[in-house]
Amino acid sequence: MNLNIFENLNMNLSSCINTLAIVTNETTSGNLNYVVIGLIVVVLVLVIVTLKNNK
Amino acid sequence: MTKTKKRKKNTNFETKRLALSLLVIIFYFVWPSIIAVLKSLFHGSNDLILGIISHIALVLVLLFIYRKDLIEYWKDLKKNKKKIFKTIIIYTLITIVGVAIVNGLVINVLNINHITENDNSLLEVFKTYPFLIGFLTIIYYPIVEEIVFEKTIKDVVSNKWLFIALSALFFWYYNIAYVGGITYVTVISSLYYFVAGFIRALAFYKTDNLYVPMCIKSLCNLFVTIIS
Repeated sequence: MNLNIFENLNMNLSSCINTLAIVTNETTSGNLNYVVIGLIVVVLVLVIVTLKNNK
Repeated sequence: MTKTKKRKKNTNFETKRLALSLLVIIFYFVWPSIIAVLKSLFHGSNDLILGIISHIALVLVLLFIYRKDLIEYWKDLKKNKKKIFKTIIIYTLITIVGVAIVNGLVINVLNINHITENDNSLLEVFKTYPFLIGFLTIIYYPIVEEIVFEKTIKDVVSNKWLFIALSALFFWYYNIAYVGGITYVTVISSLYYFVAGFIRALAFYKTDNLYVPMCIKSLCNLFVTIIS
């Protein structure tokens, strides 16, 4: 069950990255992967900091 | 008001701030894709004009989102004119010297003499459209990038050094990842982005006024444009 969720998540993320790559002229899909990874890291850090502050 | 109510109100406020920061960050990175879709829809129209309109629209949206904070910063700027202008001048000089030292070390000690993709593309376009690049580097980027890379982080992170480090890393990372790809050479040759971001975040934390890092970035870019 958990594996399925991760597989779906991975597929959605990949298709999302590909869709973004197709419509973005400025970046290659390789660079876009880095951008998406960075974005996820920043979002996670900010969420963790807020959760810690609210504890 | 009871302690629990106060705490709940504070938690709600922080959650709203987080949601707004995340929305702004994601919006900033999705924006080029929206513009690319529009470009494909209006195929054959002038890309340059569409590009300029999209840049102006993004600035206006961000200014509108943070209008209340920006008004407060403006009031603070008027109230503490001398102190703020002194900070802007000092930190601009520190940024220029800091960037020069880091680039000097990278070139002379590490023997890496590589112009980043970001700088390269700006220099190339500068030859054809000097006023457009002047507008982008002196007005557009200082407003947009300081909101996205500093204001959003400071609204969420209250710890001084965590905010400064995160903001500088965020700015550094995206200047490499978005245009150049991550390699040893691009990481090292872009080190000055981290230094510049670090100094501006420090100035922002010290004054608690977003116009300070905006002006520092604008003055540094003006300096680079003049010597270019």
